[in-house]
Amino acid sequence: MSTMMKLSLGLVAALALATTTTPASAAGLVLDASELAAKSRSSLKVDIEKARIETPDLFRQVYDVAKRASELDAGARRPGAPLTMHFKVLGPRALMPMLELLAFEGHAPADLTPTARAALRVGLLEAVGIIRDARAVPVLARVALRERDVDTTRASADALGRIGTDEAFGALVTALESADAAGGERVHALLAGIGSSRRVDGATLLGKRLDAHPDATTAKAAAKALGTAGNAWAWKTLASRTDEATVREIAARALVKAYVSYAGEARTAASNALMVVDDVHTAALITEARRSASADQATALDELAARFAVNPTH
Amino acid sequence: MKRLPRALLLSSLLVEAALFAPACGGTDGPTEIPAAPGPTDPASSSGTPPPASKGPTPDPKGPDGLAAVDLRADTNRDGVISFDDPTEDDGEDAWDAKHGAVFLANIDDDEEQCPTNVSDVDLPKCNDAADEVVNGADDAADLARLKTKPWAAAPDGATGKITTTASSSVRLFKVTGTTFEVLAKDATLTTAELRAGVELAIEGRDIVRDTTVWDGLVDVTFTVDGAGATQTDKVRMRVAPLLTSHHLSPAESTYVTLLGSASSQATRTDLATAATAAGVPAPQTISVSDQWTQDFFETGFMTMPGPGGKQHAMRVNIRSANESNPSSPTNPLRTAGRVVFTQLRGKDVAGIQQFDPTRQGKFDTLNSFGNFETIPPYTSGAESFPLGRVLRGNIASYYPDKTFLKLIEAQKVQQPLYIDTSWLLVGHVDETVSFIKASSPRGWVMLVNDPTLAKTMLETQSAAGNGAVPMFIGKFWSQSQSAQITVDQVLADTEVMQASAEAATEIAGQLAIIKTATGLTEAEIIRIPYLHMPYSQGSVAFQPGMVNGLYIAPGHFVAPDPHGPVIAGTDIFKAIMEERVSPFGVAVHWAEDWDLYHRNLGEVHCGTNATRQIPDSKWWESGR
Repeated sequence: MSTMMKLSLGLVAALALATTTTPASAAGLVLDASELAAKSRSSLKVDIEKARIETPDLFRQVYDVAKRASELDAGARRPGAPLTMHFKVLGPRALMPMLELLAFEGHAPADLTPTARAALRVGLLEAVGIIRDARAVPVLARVALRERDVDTTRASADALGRIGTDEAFGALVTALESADAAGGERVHALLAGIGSSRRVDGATLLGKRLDAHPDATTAKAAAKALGTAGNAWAWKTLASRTDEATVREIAARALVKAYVSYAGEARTAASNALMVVDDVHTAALITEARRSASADQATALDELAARFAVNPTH
Repeated sequence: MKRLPRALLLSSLLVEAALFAPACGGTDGPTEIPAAPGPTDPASSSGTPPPASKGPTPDPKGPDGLAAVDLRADTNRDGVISFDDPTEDDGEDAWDAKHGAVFLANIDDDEEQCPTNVSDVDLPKCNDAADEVVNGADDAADLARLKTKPWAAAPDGATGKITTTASSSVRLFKVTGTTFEVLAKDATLTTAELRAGVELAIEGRDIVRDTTVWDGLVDVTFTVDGAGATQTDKVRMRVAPLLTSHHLSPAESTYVTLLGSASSQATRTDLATAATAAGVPAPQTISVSDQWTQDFFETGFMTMPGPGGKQHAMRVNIRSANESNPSSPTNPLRTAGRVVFTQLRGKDVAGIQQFDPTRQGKFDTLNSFGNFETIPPYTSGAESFPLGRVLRGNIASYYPDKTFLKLIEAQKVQQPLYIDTSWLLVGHVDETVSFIKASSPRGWVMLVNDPTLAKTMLETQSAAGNGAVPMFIGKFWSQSQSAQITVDQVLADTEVMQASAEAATEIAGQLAIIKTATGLTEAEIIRIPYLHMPYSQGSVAFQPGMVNGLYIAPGHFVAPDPHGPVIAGTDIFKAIMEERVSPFGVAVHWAEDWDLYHRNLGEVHCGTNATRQIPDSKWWESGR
């Protein structure tokens, strides 16, 4: 039997299995696949089985990282540091084995240390986000919506943002709205994800959040997210830069206003974000803000202008 | 300041006159004794210093009787207690840059008797100050001395008393020959003792940990009752602060963790090669299963004036406040940190730890000592830090153990400077800055990471047609996945570029704080290029972070091999670092650290440690 024939038969069998059975409980590292919509679950299952046949080595390598998570975490300078690079180097074709671990079957030892488990979960989510494949959205959306662990939420939100499709962005907004009532670090994590989307509507949302004058820690998170959205160095790497100018200008406008409105860490975050956004309008925006500023604000704006003039990203 | 009641004045005048008879010299006993005998001082072997050779001299205050009740400590900090030197008496009840005696917290283990197999919470409980016994000459040498001036004409029935403030923080001994007897709170000095003079010794039972509990000052008061009146004399003393070393002090010993892996061997081999080139011994190995040797302990010291203008020093190793098992009531701390007590504590070497068990591991990474460096000495404007000052990552919303912060701030001399490291995944100051001795007016320069420079260098190479040149050749992020990447691929990596721009901005913020505090000029800042990569929780060096190295000897810096693009036979990142530090008289030695350190989020500095020479600067002259 030819290799091609073997693959085809295997794929048919896998597809048949995936479409005719509903797993009672298929627990991954961050969620149970049964939490996914049936259509998404089936579709993912098919893709996973297909990938398993096409790239069995990648599955093995992903499993191997999971099995060694405790050992790898024990060596890290910061316990719980995400194992992202171990997965990122496997490339985009490792998406399906990673999604399998996240939502279907953990393939990790039961006795993982708590920090190793966190390192594994967050590392997988981050690596999935870096691949920027929309097939991951159902899993990531579910995690972002219901996960209570902040680091896991942040990683899933960041991944959704990087994918950046309408569906991914919609999932982020939904999760954000559901988190708003409680506020706190989950909100900050989701705001970070919206920044990673680098979308015009994302930057607009973040700007409005800042305009609403939230508490200082939320303002800091929103300012940092706007910095991510408008990050000039990152934009330079992107294939599509259609929205770059708009996003960076929105970010700069909101950040100059925030810089004036806040003190302390939130102001510093706004200043830092303005540097990485490095928008062409920034100097003019500072000058404009200075016209209606108090004496203290004017002094602070002068400092900002001086800093921007020697922007450390130049 | 002496307070002499009027009622005693006349009798004192009369009896003091008798002190000028030659025979009184013998009664008077030694007029000058070492305040803190050093371990090599023959006098210290008996615990009772011999008389100084100067011999008796008239009381400097003359026959007015004012010196009848006189308690002396080493107020003028010359290492001896003198009854003849007025500077020993002037300002003795104050403590400032010019006056005030010093004593040590006697928390070493000179006899090396402390148990090493007890729990985390019990390990620090054993030290030389934990009991009321002076355990031999080495222990005696760690006690600062005081002495009551012999008062041969003390009236019959006169009695004395020695009291202290902060009595729970110090212990006083009465020294008789080679015997050290704890001076009980209500102990009475007899008339005979008053006439002969009494030698005392004081030890701190701990360092200052919280100035709201104890500010480190102790007033020792000598009170004499006799002839119906009371006289007192008071001296103020201060416990030596815990200080940490800066890179201008040459390393006496360096350390690296010994692991059995090839990656550990590779780094240790390169460190040994660098040490040989620098003319210093290879790092000592520490056998623990934690390669982050920088993080689990910090080396420090305490000093007090010793004879001959020298300092009597006690080394103090500090266990990190990392809580690896925060829910454990007995062993909550990072295991490797036990070496502070189990391997390093001993003669003239103390160990301490300080942590808040209620913190429950919060922001734990900030408690590693990679997040604790010491800026070398500087003066900027009106501010002077002759022993340097501590540099840590600490902001209002992301901070190290607050009880530990309080402890370090309570030492006062190296008042910490705080920068923002919250944007870093690991969060340590050693990820972005370091300090090296330099042939410059200030005597040192700062190394700082510059991601913008790194990006510019890569862009220049790309523009020159070298975009396909690989870096990280032969390196792996994981077991079998190559890390090799071309110059153009790095420049096209969205995550690396995003994190690097953020790092450039954040580092500029760190730099602004350090420049404002120290007055460092651009000419004193050596920018070293490497990029960053992001995790959702923070940023970390993409290339081996070259500032994160070991200053192993004056003029010798061991940096991690950056594995950068090799163009025309030269690693461009190595070349620029060598070129930039060379004018300051510093050679760079490259160490392989990718597998064991870099890909585990640290570098050479994170994996090493050093005990450095005690600096000549005397902290008590700092005015802090």
